Amino acid sequence: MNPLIQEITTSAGYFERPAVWLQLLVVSLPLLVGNAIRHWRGGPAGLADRHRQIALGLALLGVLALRLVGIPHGFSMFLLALVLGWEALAPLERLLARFLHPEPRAQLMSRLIRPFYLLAAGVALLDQLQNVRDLAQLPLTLFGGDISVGQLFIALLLAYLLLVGSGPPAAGLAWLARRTLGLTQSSQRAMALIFRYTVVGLGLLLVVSNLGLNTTALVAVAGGLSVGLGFGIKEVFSNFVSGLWLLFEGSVRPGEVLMVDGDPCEVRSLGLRAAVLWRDRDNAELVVPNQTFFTESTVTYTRSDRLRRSELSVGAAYRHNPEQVIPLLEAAARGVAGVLPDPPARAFLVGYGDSAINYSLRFWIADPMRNLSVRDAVGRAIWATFASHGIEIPFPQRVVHRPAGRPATDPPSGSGAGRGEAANPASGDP
Amino acid sequence: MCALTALAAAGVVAGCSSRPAAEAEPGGVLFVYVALPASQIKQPDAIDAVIERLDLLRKPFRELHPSVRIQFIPFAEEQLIHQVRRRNWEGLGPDLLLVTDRMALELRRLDLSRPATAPADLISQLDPLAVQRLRQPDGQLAGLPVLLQTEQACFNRRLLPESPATLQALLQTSAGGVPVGLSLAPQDLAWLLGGFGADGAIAVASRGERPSPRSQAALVQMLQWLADANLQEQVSVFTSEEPMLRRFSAGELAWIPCRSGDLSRLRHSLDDDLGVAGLPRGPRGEATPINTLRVWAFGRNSSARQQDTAELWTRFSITPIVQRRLTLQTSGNLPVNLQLPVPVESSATLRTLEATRQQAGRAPGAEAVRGIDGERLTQMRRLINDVAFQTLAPRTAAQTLIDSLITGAAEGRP
Repeated sequence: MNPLIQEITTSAGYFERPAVWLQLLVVSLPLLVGNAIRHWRGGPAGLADRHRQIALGLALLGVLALRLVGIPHGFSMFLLALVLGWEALAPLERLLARFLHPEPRAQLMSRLIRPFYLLAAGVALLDQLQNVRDLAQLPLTLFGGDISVGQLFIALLLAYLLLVGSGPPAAGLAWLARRTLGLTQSSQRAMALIFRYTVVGLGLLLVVSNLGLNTTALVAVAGGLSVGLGFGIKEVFSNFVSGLWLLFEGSVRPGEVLMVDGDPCEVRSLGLRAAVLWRDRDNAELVVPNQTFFTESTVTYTRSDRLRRSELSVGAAYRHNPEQVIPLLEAAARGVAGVLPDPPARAFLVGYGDSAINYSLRFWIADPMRNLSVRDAVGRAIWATFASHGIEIPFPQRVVHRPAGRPATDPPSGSGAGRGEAANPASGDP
Repeated sequence: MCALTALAAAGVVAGCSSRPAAEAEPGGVLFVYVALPASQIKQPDAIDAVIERLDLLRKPFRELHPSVRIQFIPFAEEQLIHQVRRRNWEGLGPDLLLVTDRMALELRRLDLSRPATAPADLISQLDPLAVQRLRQPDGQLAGLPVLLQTEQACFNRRLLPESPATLQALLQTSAGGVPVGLSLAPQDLAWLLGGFGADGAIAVASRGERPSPRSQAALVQMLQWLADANLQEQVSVFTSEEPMLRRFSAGELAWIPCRSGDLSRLRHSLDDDLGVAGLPRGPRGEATPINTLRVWAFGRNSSARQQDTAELWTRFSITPIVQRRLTLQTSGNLPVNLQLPVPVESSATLRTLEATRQQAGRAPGAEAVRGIDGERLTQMRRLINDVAFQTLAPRTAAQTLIDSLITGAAEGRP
């Protein structure tokens, strides 16, 4: 049997002692009761909310009872302390809420604080039953190298810390670079990601080299992996390489605005496998494989700047002089918040339609993600301006000629010409 | 929480299933704490050597009882009481402890262990002196002796063909360019007392009485010898035993006082160059080496099955045949079961150890030094250092030492 497993299973020897399992019961039973109260439907009001306090109170009473009857109770106190520590993470999270946004807070709790608490609790529990230092010295053979369990544990811990904890320092470094070099925000985010991957890559190399693993064996494993990459996880690897390439190229970086299926989406993050985009229209997050950006053309409004030229088409009745309408349109756009004064809004006569003279109003906005809202505001402003100046936005019109001597009949349904046939809408009432 | 419940359930199952097994065949896990000097606990090799020696017991026992697993957990002697107290409080204490006789008595005094039990006929086979040491006022045994370790001289045959027979010869040898080592720790110097007849002074003072001027003069003479020895270029003094052993192992010292428990590692380093001899006699008598007992003390938290298995294991370890095998296979341990004679013909080392065993125990003063600890020991250590380095006159140091022992005895502790 593996010496490590053998050592750990030896701890089972403690559990044949009545005092030990009694202590376990004293702590675990109240927790079970608390859990049952929590899920008790139809119980007294407010009881479910206090299931934690009830469970911990009962466990504490149990520990006191053990002490009173002279049964060893230190282990139960230790277990109770572990449970209390876990419960204390909830107030800690509330405290963090004062300083951190929900997303980084959730990441901090779920990726760092909770896993580390569980790990520390596990090691502490193991230390109660076994000498952790002795366990750490047990030898292991990995990739042809002799290492100890402790070394492997530290290496895995460091690797995890590198993967999870390198984000904030990398972001800080990128912020410094932005302040010093005057980078844009999206460049800062890209740089943070590049810093992070560099730190993770170098860190993992250092961890592996410190472990003293046989590099020949590692090369052989890498060779095997490359065959596996060729057949099995080609897509994953392709996405990873695409992600790195996109980062260096800078075409898809966090903060960029891309058009996906006609909707502007902001790049939230560029991961190892996929990019996460946020779509304003419905507040959806799209997970798009990196390879997509690598192989397909992408429309972006933020490549060289963040300006977007927006356009709104509108028709005005034939009787209105375009020389009157065009300045009105441009003035309407100018008065809308979000429309940039420079480049100025421009209106063009783009054609003579069936019912109206068609104009196109083109204006620039600073935030491509606000296109819809700004267009909406410009549209409203045009309506108001036309109304105040008596400019008619005509309905579609169709002229029907009726041969002489035939009685008038109802127009065919769905023709849409009924109102046009009946009369022109009142002028100045668009 | 689910994990806790599962553990509890497993515990209930294990707890319920343990009783019938206890009646049939011993099994389960036995947690055995092994007390080691602090210097050894920091050295994986030293720990491995101890576990290796204990395996000489574990392997044959497991052949008889394969379902028993015995886990040896080394602890520093200084930490042991604290650790046992904490672990007992948790219910995760040891089933057995392999400790010195003094520690076994201390564990019983603090109620951290339970009295040792063994069939009367088996106890009657044991060295009566060893049993007597562990006998408490209420007649119960604080532990069961398993091995006896002695104190003698170790010398490197490559540098010194023969160990000096007298203290005078030792200094002459050193003056001749042979490097000699001495530990200044009070317990490591107790063997010197007998050579100057100073053991009586310590014994009397430890009882709270003032020693005779003649005894006090003997003590002064011993301290003076120590100061003179330190003046010699080839005499190296050490504040503890471990660095001295390391230098001796490296072949840098030719002669040191040593304990038989260290012979294995010294032989590992020096092989056939290691010589073992009795400690040199002084101008007024033989040396007064101290025997140390290794004792099984019984833990308080064991389940019924673990108690049965622990008793079975300890009885197994003191049966004549196992004792003889241990004596022959480990160098440096003498049996406590006297049913079979010590095989002195098989080894010169065993012959020396047996002679030392007979020599030890005759000087109550030397034994009293073993009982000194805490603040008193620190003061004694400081006095000896001051004398050795000539910052305090031997007469003043002897007076202070006696006063300190008398005060300690009056306060109820040596």
